[in-house]
Amino acid sequence: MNDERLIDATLAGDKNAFGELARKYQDRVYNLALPIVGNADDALDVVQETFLQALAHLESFRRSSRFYTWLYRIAYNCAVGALRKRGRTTSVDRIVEEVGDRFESPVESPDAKSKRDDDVQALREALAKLPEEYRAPIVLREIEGANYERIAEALEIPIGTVRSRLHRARNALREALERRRNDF
Amino acid sequence: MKREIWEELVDRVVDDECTVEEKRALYEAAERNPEIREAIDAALRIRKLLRSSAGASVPPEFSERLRLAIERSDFWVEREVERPAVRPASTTAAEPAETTKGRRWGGRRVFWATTGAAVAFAAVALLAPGVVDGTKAFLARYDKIEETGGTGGTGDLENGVGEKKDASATKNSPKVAPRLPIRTPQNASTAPETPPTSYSDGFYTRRVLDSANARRLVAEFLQVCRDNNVKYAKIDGDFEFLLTKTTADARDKIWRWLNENACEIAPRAENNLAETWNNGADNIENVRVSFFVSNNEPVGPTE
Repeated sequence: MNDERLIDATLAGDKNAFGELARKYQDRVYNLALPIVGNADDALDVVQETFLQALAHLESFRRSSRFYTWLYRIAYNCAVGALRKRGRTTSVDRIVEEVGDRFESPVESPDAKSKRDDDVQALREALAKLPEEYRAPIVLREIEGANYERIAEALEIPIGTVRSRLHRARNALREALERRRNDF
Repeated sequence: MKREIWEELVDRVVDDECTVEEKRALYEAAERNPEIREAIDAALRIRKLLRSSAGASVPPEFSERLRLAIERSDFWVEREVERPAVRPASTTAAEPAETTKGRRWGGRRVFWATTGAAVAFAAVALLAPGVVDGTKAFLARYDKIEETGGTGGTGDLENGVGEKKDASATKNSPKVAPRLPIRTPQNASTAPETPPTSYSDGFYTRRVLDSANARRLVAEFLQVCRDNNVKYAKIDGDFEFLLTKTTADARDKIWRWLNENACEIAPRAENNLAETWNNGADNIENVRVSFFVSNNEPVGPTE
């Protein structure tokens, strides 16, 4: 069943329909929230809060955008809210702990793996240190694959601002990678 | 190509937000300028690294947690058009109430059974202006419910009384009643036990009582409690109580009394109450019973 029908069914009182929407998008919301809040527990809370908020406001969803666009705007707000509540610092160690070695490739040589580990570590540190206004666009763009228009819509900022924030975020991340290399 | 131009173009090209001509121009420039190549490589590398660490899935147990949270959302309360039939006075609490929503209660029964949570709320009728903003519209809505014999209200403790519903919605849905606040219990004045510090989620009222009738009903209710060794705590004001402990036998009697005298209970509370009580737990705790009056007597703080 597509999103539209699931939404209609939900509005008609079908709990299973919304459950299906939740199952469909829970991982995506989780992956969106995780880099923002920095740890799995908070990210799961964000996922739950996101779906409850979405449900509570489902009637106000005008369907001019895709459901997920609307949903990740909520998710983003929940994630940022969680971050603010907790304080602005994201624990790099916890990000590392949560995402672990998912990038690991069995065919990588030890050297290549070590270098990649370093890069990922540097990137995570840099991501955690990014100001919130830069972190969200880069996460939406690179992890969600959202285009500028969707990012602008989700964050309620002009497309020009999306571009400039993405640019600054990338610069910061690139510099972090370069610094890490220079250190070794 | 000037730096600021290619820097901006690099972003747009890697993000595929450019024209074919722009992309071609950038790649041509990159052939001549290693800095541009490096910038493109860096942007793509960052993407690859970020995406490689973004394949996380929520833990399997979280799906169940989310499902329960969704199921317990207030959202559904407002969609429960049909209300479970009120149990006839002659029935006992041990018998399942006739309901139009038996299907939906199934999941909850499982929930209650598994968690062992025995939490419920009951409610009796309506309203002190001090509690509900004292708005005429609000009173009128209750009056309307009374007049039409509406089958009760619904609400959300967490959202409080102040949240008034749209008048047209009320007109179209006379069963929807205003929301009531959570109140932290004060020291129990009549209770032999310390009242709990938290409540379960939901209880709603519908009937408007005048002060005299409310007091008469409260006195009667408390007498029933005392007669049956039901422990109760006064929560706030003179019209709101928390049953802190009952027995199975007392539960039946209280339930019957509520059905006969108190109110019809809104869907969510009714679900909780009926399920919990029908599940036959011997000790039912934290059943909230509120009497509302339509005069000016304050019942409690507005929250």
